[in-house]
Formats: sequence, C-alpha cells, structure tokens
Amino acid sequence: MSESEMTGNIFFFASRESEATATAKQTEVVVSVEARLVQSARAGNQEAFTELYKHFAPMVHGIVLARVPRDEVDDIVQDVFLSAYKNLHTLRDQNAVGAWLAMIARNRATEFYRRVKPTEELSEEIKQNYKPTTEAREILSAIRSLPDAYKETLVLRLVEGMSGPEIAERTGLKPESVRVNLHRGMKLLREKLGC
Amino acid sequence: MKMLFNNSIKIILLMMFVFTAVSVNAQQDPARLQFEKLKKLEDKAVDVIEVNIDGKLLDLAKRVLLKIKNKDAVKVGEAIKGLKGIYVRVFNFEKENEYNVADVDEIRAQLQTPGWEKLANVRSKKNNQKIDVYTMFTGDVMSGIAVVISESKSIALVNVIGPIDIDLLVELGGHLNIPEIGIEKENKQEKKEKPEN
Amino acid sequence: MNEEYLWDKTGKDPEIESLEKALSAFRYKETEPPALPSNVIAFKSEKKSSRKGFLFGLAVAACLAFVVVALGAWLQVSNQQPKGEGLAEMELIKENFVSEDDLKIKEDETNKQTPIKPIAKIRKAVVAPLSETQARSNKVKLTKEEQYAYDQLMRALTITSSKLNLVKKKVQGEEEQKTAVKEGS
Repeated sequence: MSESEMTGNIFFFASRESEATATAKQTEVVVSVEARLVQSARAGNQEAFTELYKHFAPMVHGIVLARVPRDEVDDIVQDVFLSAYKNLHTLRDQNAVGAWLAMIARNRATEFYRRVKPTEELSEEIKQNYKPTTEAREILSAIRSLPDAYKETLVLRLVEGMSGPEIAERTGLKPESVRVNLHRGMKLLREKLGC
Repeated sequence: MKMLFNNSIKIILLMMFVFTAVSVNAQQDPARLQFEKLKKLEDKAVDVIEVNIDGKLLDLAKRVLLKIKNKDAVKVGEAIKGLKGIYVRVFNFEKENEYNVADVDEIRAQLQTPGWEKLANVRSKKNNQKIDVYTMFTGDVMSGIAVVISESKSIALVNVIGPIDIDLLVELGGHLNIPEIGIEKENKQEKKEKPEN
Repeated sequence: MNEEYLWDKTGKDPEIESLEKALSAFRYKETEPPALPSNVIAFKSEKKSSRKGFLFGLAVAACLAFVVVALGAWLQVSNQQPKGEGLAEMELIKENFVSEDDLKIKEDETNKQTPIKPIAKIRKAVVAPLSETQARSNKVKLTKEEQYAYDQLMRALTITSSKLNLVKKKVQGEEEQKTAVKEGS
C-alpha cells in the first residue's frame, strides 16, 4: 500500500482522551489503516510492519532528533522500531500506535543519556557525514533548549517538514495542542535566535 | 450448546465477583505507591513533610479553585481536572547517610511492577543523587506519576494518581503565590555558592 | 509571522521558510527498517477467538450492568445516611487545622513538656501561610475547611512542580552538556 493511499483512506479520530462523551462530539471511531497494519504486523506480516515503519519513521526521527546528538539518532530510531515490533502485543489501543511509538522514542532518548559517557567522541566516518551548516546547528541547538512539548513539535514541523495536522495525526496529540505548541514554540525560538 | 451456556454463566458470575471486589476496594489504585515502610524514617529525620490530598478533601479544593477566579487558579484547575490524589513525602536529615538506601529502593521496586514506565532517570555523584520519574497509562489516559528523588541528606517522594498536565504544572511552578518551601531555598543557596563548571 | 503557514503551510512566510531550508540537512532520510528477529511470537489470529470474544463481551456487559445497578443502590443508601456522617470528615479536617493562636506556643515550653516529633514541627510550616493565601486568593471568602483544603492542594502541587522542574533541569542540563561536548569536538 502506498503512502498516498494510506493518508487518503484514513477516517481517523485520534484523541488522548477516552471519555464516554465522545458521542456528544458527533465523531466516529473507525479502525484506521494504521490499526489494520498493526493487526497484520502482530500476526507476523513483516510487510505490514515495513509500512508502519515508513509511515512513522519521520515522526520518530524528529522526536529523537529533538533530544539526542545527530549522529546517534539513526541508531536510536532503529532501536525504537525493533522494540516496538517485539512489544507490539502489549499495545492496547491499535488506533494509538503513533502515540505509543512517540512514547517509546522519548523513553529511548532519555535512556541514551543514562548509557553514554560524556567523553565519547564522534568517529571520523560520522564527522564526514555530518554536513549541516553552523547556522543550522545553532538553530537546532536553540530548538533543543526549549521545553519538551515545543521542541518536539518544532522539530517535526521545521526539520521533518510535517504540517500541524500531520503532527497531530501521527503523535496522537490534539490538533489544538499542536497548534498552541507551534505558536508558543516559534515565539520562544525567535526570542532565542534574536529575531 | 449447553456447555457453552454453562461456561458463560460461570464467566459472568466470576466477573461479577471480580467487579464487586474492585468496586469495594476502589482505593487500591494500581498507581498508588505504598509509603508505610518509610514511617520509621520520621524519627531519624530533622524535617518531615507529609501531604495527602484525595477524596473529599481534593474535591473541596477543586471547588475552591472554581471560586477563585484568577488566571493561575483557572490554569491549575485545568491541569488537575481528572486528578484523584496526590501524596507527598519529604524527609530531610541533618547528616549524610542517616537513612538506609534500601528503604528507598523498596519504593523504587514498586515501580518495576507492570504498568509503570520509566520517563526519566538521572544519576549524579554529587550528593549521591538519584532521580526516577515513572508514569502509568491506562490506555491513552495517564493514570499515575511517581517521582522518587534520593540524596545523601534528603528523600523526596511524589505520587500523583490520575491524569495531570505535567507540562502546565512545570510551567506554573513558582507562580502559584505560595511561599517556597524551606528545602528548595537551601538548595538554591548551595547552588549559588558553588562555582559553575 | 504567518500563523497559517506555520500550521498547515498555507501561504508564505520567508522567515519560517529560511528556517526550514537551513534545518533540512537534519531531515530524516528514508532507510530500511531494522532486521526483525525471527523468533518473535506472532499474536494469535483473532478469527478463532471471535466466539470467545463475543461471550466475554456479553459477560463484561452483564457485569457492567450489575455494577451500575449496585452503584445506584449504594448512592441511594448513602444519600439516606444521616447528615452527621457527612460532617465527620470535616470535623477531622478541623482537628488537623491549626489556628494562628496555636502557632504561638513557644518551642521551649513544648520541649520541656513532650518530645517534639519532627512531623509536628513541619505542621507549622504547612499551616503558617494561611493568612497570606487568604489575602492572595482574590479576597474570596473561604471557610476554614476550604482554606485548609486549598492550601494542602497548593502545597502538594508546589512540591510536585518543583520536583518535576528539578528533573527537567537535570535532564536538560545533561543534554546541553553532552551537545556542547559533541559539537565542540
């Protein structure tokens, strides 16, 4: 299934609230395409898991990038999905796989600092691939110094190129929360960058 | 068909029993940590702070927030809308190593039970500081937070039951018009005296 | 700043666009998924368990109905309880509530009479700011019980938020230190 088909076919209500008053909001809860992929992946279908990976990897990448050094991000992203695959059976709400992956990503990023000693240095190979400009590094550093909710949303928007509605859909956050985080985060970022 | 019917009756009766037990023992929330074993530290500590707020007291406090119509009160009210209880223990000791680390590790062991997920974990050789933050989710909804901080001269435990807006709480910290607690002031003074790295 | 561009890329905003361009170097580049272990036990197919699932659902529905009825009965009974019982908890709160006069007890006297338990000392700190919070709470008139409940809640939230702030600073401080070390090297 292509990515465009996935996004086009989604009638999906994603919310972090599990209130019984959902019916009052006149919305439908339908098993999403992601949920079907999760079911399929659970049954051992590796292609389904690959599709999940392709859909959520940018989000996981952004969340990890907001927290750990650039050269460690790719390994941690792989680790997140490997862990997710092994623990897929523990996911209770298959419609919330995005929020679940986001949580694993944040935990892995936190655990990274527990494992890594500050004296570790970049290998030469990694240094050669590390090409962003000084300005880009400064901007990313400024974003990383913001509160978690803002930095994550800003990285997903400005680095990964996701729109606000896409961020809300994949992370499981409410669109209003994402909008507020983007607005406040950008305001703080501009102050830090001296704009 | 008969067997199926009999089985389903058995299941229904069993589930009735379980649900009755659950409703009767409503206070045994899985996110609730047991602090009873730390009672013995009260005699050794020079300062003890114990705050328990739940049930009717919490409901009363929430109603008070609605009465107070200022910005902070509204924000706090929003942050604690679904809250079921907060339990705090802080022990300060005069000298280092006056308590047994195993006592605090017993609390940490409760966080290894299924349901609790590690959110943050900090270890620092300064003052033998160990910080653990765990969360518990029921589906998509947060059902508990646990913060365990132990240092050579102090222990701080916070157990929040029910959903709470952590980001808003952190943001509001310091703006609640409540005088700062003595321990925090001492820590800040210590920080100022030590040279920055 | 164009809010709509920031939200869903509608319109234009040169400032945001320049940030996006600079940061695009960090963007995720499509990679292969991790090699999956072959010994992961697949989740059981749900087709076979559909009948069991139906029965379980029926049992759960029956139990929920039972709980609702039991709850309704309990509520009815508790509403019929004499008012005195409802006040018992408030009396307990009153006992715990220490008035300002009580705070004037000198430490010397209490030391002589009874050994001071540490928790008794701290009860002073918990209660002392009452008059201040009364003034600060927008001059809303509160009963003693309400004031106590409010102060306890604020005390709990203040401690919780200060501890969470401490954790946040620690984590951010370590992150910045490591980022500085990496970028410096």
